[in-house]
Formats: sequence, C-alpha cells, structure tokens
Amino acid sequence: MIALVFAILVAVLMGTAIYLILQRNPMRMLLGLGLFTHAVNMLVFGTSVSDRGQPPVLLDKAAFDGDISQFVDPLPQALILTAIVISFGIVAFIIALLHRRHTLDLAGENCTDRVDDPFAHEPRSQLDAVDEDYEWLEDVVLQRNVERQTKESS
Amino acid sequence: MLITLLALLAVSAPTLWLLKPQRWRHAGWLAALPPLVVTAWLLTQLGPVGQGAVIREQYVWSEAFGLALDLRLDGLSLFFGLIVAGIGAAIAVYAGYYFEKKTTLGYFYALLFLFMTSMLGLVWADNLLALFVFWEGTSITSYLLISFKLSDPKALEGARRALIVTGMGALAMLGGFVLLGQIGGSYTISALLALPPDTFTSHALFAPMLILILLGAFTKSAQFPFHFWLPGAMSAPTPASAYLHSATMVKAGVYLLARLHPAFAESSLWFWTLLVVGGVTMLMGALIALRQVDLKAILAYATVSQLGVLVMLLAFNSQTAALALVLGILAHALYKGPLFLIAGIIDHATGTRDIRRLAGLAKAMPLLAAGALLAGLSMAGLIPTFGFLAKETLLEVFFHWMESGDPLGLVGLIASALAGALFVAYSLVLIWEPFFRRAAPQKQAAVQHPPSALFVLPVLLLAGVGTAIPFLLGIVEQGLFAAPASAVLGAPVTLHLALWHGWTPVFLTSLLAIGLGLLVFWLRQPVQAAFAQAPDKLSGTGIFDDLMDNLYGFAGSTTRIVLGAPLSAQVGVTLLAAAGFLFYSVFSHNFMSDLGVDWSALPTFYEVVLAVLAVLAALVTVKARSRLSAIISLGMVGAAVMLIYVFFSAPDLALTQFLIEVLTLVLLVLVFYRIPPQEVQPIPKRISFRHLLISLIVASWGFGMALLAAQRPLFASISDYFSLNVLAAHGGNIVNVILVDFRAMDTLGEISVMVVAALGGYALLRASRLRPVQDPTQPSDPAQSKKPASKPAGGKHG
Amino acid sequence: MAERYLALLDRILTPILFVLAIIFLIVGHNEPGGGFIAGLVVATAFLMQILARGDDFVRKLIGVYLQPTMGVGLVIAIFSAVLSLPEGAFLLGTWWKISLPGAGVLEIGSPTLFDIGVFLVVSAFVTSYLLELSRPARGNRR
Repeated sequence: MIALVFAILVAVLMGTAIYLILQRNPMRMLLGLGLFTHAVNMLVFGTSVSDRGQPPVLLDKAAFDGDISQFVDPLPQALILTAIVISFGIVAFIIALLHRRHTLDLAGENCTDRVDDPFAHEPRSQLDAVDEDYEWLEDVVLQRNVERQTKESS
Repeated sequence: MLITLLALLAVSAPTLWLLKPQRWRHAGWLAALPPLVVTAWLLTQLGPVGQGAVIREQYVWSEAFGLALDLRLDGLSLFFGLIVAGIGAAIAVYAGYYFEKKTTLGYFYALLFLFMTSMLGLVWADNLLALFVFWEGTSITSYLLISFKLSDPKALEGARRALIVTGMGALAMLGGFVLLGQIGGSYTISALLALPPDTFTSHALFAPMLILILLGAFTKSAQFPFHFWLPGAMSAPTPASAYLHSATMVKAGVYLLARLHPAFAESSLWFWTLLVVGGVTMLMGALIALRQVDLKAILAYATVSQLGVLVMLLAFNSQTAALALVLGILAHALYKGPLFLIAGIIDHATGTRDIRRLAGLAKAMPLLAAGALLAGLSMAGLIPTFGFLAKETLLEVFFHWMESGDPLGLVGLIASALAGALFVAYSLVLIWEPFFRRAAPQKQAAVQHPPSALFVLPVLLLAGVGTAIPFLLGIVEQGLFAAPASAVLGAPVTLHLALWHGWTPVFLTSLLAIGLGLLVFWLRQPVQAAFAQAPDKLSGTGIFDDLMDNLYGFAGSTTRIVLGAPLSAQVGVTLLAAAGFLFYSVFSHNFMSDLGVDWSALPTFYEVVLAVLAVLAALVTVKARSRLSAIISLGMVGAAVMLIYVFFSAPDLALTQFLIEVLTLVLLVLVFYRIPPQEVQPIPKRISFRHLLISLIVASWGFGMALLAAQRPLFASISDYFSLNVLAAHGGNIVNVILVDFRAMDTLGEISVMVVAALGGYALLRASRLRPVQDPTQPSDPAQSKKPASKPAGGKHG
Repeated sequence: MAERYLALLDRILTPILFVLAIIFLIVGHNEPGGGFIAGLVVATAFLMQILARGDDFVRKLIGVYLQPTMGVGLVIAIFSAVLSLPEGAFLLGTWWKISLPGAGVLEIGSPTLFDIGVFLVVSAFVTSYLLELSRPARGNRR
C-alpha cells in the first residue's frame, strides 16, 4: 500500500507541476518546476520505500559483518541528493533569466509581444532577424576596433 | 620512453611560445632540439626494430571502460615517426628564418609542436580510440595553422572547409572504429590485426565498417572527391604547408590504411575501392597541377596526385606493392618537403609565387637552385634518384599484375606511366622556369631579399638525405624499408633493392614515361593553354559550398519549425509523447496483474498524513491568488517531502532538502521582491481546458511510473555492491561514499554543471553593466535612437 | 529595528554554522553530512549575513572570491581524480593514514579531497546567486 500512497503523491505533484508549467506567467512556471522536482524525487524515492530499514550509515564499522539487509537502499538516496542540488541550480538559473528579462523590460525593450511565450524576447516575425541580447557584445568589439584604429593612426 | 618523447614535444609547445623566440635571429635551432632528440632516439631503434623487435607501453586511463593509452613502436610506426620528427626538425629551423622576427613565430611554434605531438601519437597509438583522439588533434592544429593569417578571409574559408571535410570524415571513421571494435572484440590495433582476416571480411557489417573507415582515410588524405580542401589549405604559412599538407598530416590516411592493410587486404571491396579512388586521384591531381601558376598550388596538386598513388598501391596485397608504398612515402616526403620550402624562400625573396613572373633565380640564389635540382629530379624520377627507385617499384607492381594475365594490369601500367610522365613534366617546369630560363613572360620579379645560407640549409639537408639514400641501401634497407613493408603486409618481407636492374621492361616503360614527360614539357605552353579553357565550374569547392549553404538553410528552417511553437505547446507535445509510450505498454501488456508490487507493506499513520499534506499544499500552490501564498505553499510541499525523507531513513536527504528549501524560499522572495507582478492576458477557457487535460494525462503517467518503479526489481541492483564494499572505500555513510567515490564521475559532472550555471547566471545578472558602448565612428541610426541607449538596471554598480 | 535583532542572532549563529559546516564536511564520509550539505550550510550562513548586514557588506567581504572559489573547487575535485592515476585509474579512491599523536589515526583520502572540492563549488555557487539577486534594484529601494 505504501507504493499506492507514493503513486498518488507522485501523480498529484506531477499534475499540478505540469499545470503550472503550462501557464503563461513565468513565475508560476518557476513554481511548477519546483513541484516537478519534488515529483520526480518522490518517484525515485518510491523505489526504496517498500523495504524499511536503518539509514544506510555504518555507525560501528568494526561490527559490520556484511549484513546489508538492515539498511534501506542507498542508491536512490544518492541519486536524489544530487538531483536536489542540481535542480536548485536550475531554479537559480531561471531566476537569473527572469531577472535579465525584467531589466530589459525596464529599459523599454518589448519582451512580451508574444503573449503565448513568456521567454520570447522578440515578436515571432523578428525572431531570426535581430539578436538584441548580444548587441552589447558587438558594441564591445566595435569599441575595441575603434581604439585599435585610433592607436594605429596616431 | 615513447610517452616521455610525446610529453617533451607537448611541453615544448607552450615553452617556445613563452620564450618569445622572435627575439633571437637563430631561434630555429633551439626549436629544432626536441624533434632532433626524438629523431636521434628513433634512429637508435632502427636496428632492433629492423630485426623485428616491438616496443610497447601502456597507460591505463579507466580500467572499467577498457580505456588505455597504448603506444606501440613497430617498423611502420618507427618509419612514420622518423619522417614526422626528422622533417619536423628541419621545419623548425626553417620557420625561424621564414618568420624572421615576426611576433607570430612563437604562436607558430606552439601550433607546430602540438601538431607534432598529435601526429607522433597518431602513428604510435595502438588503440583505435587513442588514434582517433590524436587524429582530431592533427585536424585542429591544421585548422589553426591554415587560418594562421587571421586577417585573410580566404585563409579562414579554406581552414573552415578543411576542418569540416576532415572532421566529417573523422566522425564517419569513428563509427567505423566502433564497428571494427565490435566485430573484433577489442580496440587494440595489434590485437585486431592478430585475428584471422576472415573474422572481418566475412562479417555481415564488414562493408559499412570499411566504407566508414575509408571515408576518414580518404578525407584526410585528400582523395577524390574530397581532394579540394588541400589546395585551399595552401594559405597556411609555407613551413606548415610543407610539413602538414605534404609530408606528414595528409599521409595519416595512408598510414591508417597501411596499418589496417593486413586485416582487410583480402577483400575485393577494399581492392577495387582503393584502386579506383587512388587511380582517379592520381590522374586528376597530375592533370590539374599543369594548369596552375602558383608554385604552392602546383605542389599541392602534385601532392594530391602522389597521395592517389599511395592509396592505389595499398589496394594490392603483395610484397612489391608494400615496398613501393614505403619507398613512395619516404621519397615523396624528402622531395616534396624541400620543394615547398623552396617555394617559401622564393616567396620570401621575391614577394611572389606566381611562376609567370619568375625567371633566372639561379644566379642570385645558387644554393637554392642546387636544392631545387636535387629535389626536382627526384620528383621527376630520373635515375639515380630516390624518386626513380620509388617509381620503378611502382611500375613493377602493375607489371606483375599484367603478367598474371589480367588486362586491367596494362591499364594500370599505362595510367601510372602517364602520371609519371606528368610528374616529369611539372618537375622540369618547377626547376626550369623559376631558376634557369632567361626571361619571364610577365613582369619579372626581382630578388630583393636573398636568403642566408642557413635559411637554405634545411632544404639542402632534406634533399641531400633523399639523394643519399639510394647509395646507402645496404645500410638502411632492413630497418627503414623492410620493417615497415612487412608491417603493411603482415608478413616478413625479403628485399632485393637496387638502383640498376638492367634493361628490364619496367625500366623501358620508365624511359618511355620520361620521354613523354619531356615532350609534355616541350609543348607545355599549348597544353597549358588548352587546360585553361577547361570549365572551372564543377570544382569540388563549389559543390561543397553549395552543400554548406543548403545545410545552413535547412538548419534554419528546422529551427523555425521546432522552436516556433509556443512553449506550452512544446512542453505538452514532449510530455504527451512520454505518456503515450507508457499507455502503449499498459494496453499491450497485462499491466496491473503483472505488476510485482509488494502490496503488503503498510504505511504508518503519520506517513499518510504527510502525503496528504503534500498533496493539499501542491493543490494550494496551483490555486493560490497571490505570489507569496504560492511560494509558502510550495515551501509546505518541500517541508512534507523533507519529513517523508526523515520517516524513510534518509537523513542526508532530509538535511539537504531542508537547507535547499530555505535557500529556494529566499531566492524566490528576493526575485519576487524585485520583479513586480505582471499583467498577463488570461488564458482562454478552451486552452485552459487543454492544459488541464494534459496535466491529468501526465499525472496518470506519473502514477503508472511510480507503480512500475516500486515493483520488485527485475534484475539485481548495483546498490548491494556499493553497500558491501563501503568499508573498502573507508567510509560509513554509504550514500556519501557513492557520491564521492563509487560514482564520483557523476558528481564531478554535476559540479561542473554548477560552475557553468553560476557563470551563466553571473553573466545574465551583470549583463546590464556591460551596456552600452556608443560607436563614435557611426552617426546614430534614427531607427535605433528611439531606444534608450543606456539600460538602467545594475544598481549602484550599474 | 528587526535587523538589529537579526544581527545579534547572526553574531551567535554564524560561527556555529561555520563550525557545523566543517563538522559536516569532516564526518560526511562516515555519518550524515558531506560536501553538499556543508556547502549549503555555509551558504545559509552568508544568507543570514546578507539579511542582517546588507548585501554590500558581504559583497565587500567575499564578493571577489566567489568565482575563483568555484574554479578552485573544480580544480581540487579534478586534482583528486588525477591523483589516483598512478594507482591505475582515474577517480580511484586513494587513502593515506596519518597518525595524530593522542588523537588516533586520521584517514585522509582522495574522496575527502573531492568532497572539499564539491563543498567549495556548492557554497560559492549558492552564495553568488544570493549576492547577485539581493543587489538592490534602482528605484526599488528607499
């Protein structure tokens, strides 16, 4: 029955997560991503919950006699541990993306021409025409060229 | 020892760069030291390896994957190693004078030595994958050397073309290697060659494997129809052209074919492919060379032709062919290298490489003329040069074939004699026109900058070695020719090399070819005029460029199709596809009855309460009106999940989850505090319903997946291994030992991703600081001036 | 006013958190803990500093070290992996025993070093995001 409890938990978390991710509001998508992380972690963790046991830590190494049946399965735990940290990294990165978009918004760049895509920066017709975000890079290069020219001419 | 030598060369690369060699006039001699050390050591091995000794070294990289750096020095590897290191030393000296205190000299040496390391690794490697890595190393250094002159768009284009052609070929070759490894059960070349040849030739996958490997070899060795990148590579500095694109790198394909020759030579597919491709390349290269006017272009096409000869020879499985191959490689390296260097010196001295503007250089540069004479006569194959020896053996191969009664042998003989005649013709052109004729047909270039004797010395050394070898056959033939030839053949080779065999039919054919060559030389002006009429349109370069344009167009339209859809649609399609697979397996199998879930394990009351709490909090997150309450309910979910970890004996997870939950909460609040809520258009009912439907389908998919995951494992889990061996790893916390020891590679990957994400995030959050820089040269565009020039976002530091 | 109490709390808690992180790092191989958790604890300590004393204070203190720390962490992890190459393989655990007089035997191995690398990367990663995002936006501040 534990499996059923976990299955229901995973189902609800996934359903709500996807519903949020499909929204147009990037903030809600971020929340959905957080829920989705929990859902997948629970999915992996569910593989090791049917057999209960001690935490997989040898408290007394000298007394360890190779009897591993007393422990729960350590592998899902190791997988989830990395998953938790890396999904935090993803959330942080998306936050940075959102923040960048917000600064462009403040600067008067029109980021929300496409109502259906929260991350699109340009209207669809111009998607492949302009790449505004990298303009600063071109500016830097231009500036460097100008400096070089003035140095050469002097 | 082998690895020490490779390390010596690899370390020399940055060292020479940092030393700023342009400060010294004779820096080339210092740079020549490392390759000279390698050459000297290899020369001491000539004796033992000639007797059949083999030097092996192995450095294990990952035992579990069978990855090791295997190095092996047998006759063939030693032979190629000598060419690479010996000519490398000469090139290093030459480059010191060629660049003449230009600041790019250090960079050139760095690339040259990196190339030398890769090339030596390539010919010494005894593992297919190691060979592939070194192979790519040569491609990359070649790319950087071709694009050496960054300001020249033609050089960049040629470099890109060369990289794409050789890179695609290498990719195909990698596929072929994997197939070869699967068929033979090993990636070690010597182990594969020890298998009986019909292991490969009778295998069902033999043809695809062979074609993939041949693609790699043909692209690298500039065989038809991939020959076009080599002339484009001539924008590299001349020492690099002489070294990479004539003497060594382009022979890598030939080396690979020679290396695998014992395993594949019995197959008829091998025979016909190599014969036809090599033959076509040979004739085509020789013919195109006649219409060129740039010294380097003539030499490039002559190189293509010679590479065709070598590939053609590899088709045969006979002692004479193996010998002709070895002689051909060495002879070519020893005459084509010097000729390239001569072209470089001429360019350096007169400022042009256009043969129509050159004449009478012998007076101003007598040493150079002597070098050109030695190398050129060897290229023409006149007795008693090394080239003559190589050509005699080549003709003998076809003569034997003809004698065996096959009429195709006569065709081959005529084709090779024809190519030989063309070789004679443009060798004479190369000697006569720049050095000895009285006046040039176009505005003659004067010698403004005669080379010093030391500059010419490498040319004379290489040409001199080539001249001396035919007279020293008794001393060198065992180690230098017999050992590599027997490695190519896979069987011991006995030798009967001599310059003079008497008036044999082969010699008569050779004389005939020389006569024909003299005739072509005599009639060169009408011949060249006729060739100039030939259409230029159908060159490989044009086809290649069209292909690339179409590829870019295709990529663009694909991107528009795939990424043009709204995000929610993309996510929906992906998830529904995943769910579809699960439903398919549910309906096609007896899902519920076959499910091996242990239903007897009962949850405790608290666990059920926690699950219900998590479910409720998740639903609240969806329904929450304000952003803050949504964040808080997300935190609730996290807290419940954390407690679930506690209840199910996962203390590490609980700790991590707790800390992450705190940090996520703060990050979310921080970003919500900074970004005001957005007015988003409400989603129409219809689409909202569609989203609900997708969510429900994905939820049921998750339900099924969770049940599938919870069933009794179908096979033994590896976690028992981890648990049992945890003491061997000196740890008590099994989870952590898995993370930092058993599966540390995954963790290493993870923290690398984190560093990348941190740098990316840093760039995104700070990007506003980098704006804006006004371009003072251009008046501001009225269309752009609507936008504010400055992006105020960076706060105090902005 | 609230920040003053937070600053007081922070004075007490920060050293405790740092000590806790070091303990987690050391015992991580045998007991719950390890580089990930230790890194997160340190990040939490800096988070408290940011909330109590403002982001400028923390930025002046450690801002310039964050990116280098990540690099150093990655290099340490790779170094610990390379360390075992003479033993026969990449990333093989290699252990040395150091006997400390009076305190028994300390086992130190390449996984410990690896864990330190993980710790540095994780702590610097989280702290750098916290610092960047807590930078006050123009016009949004008193």
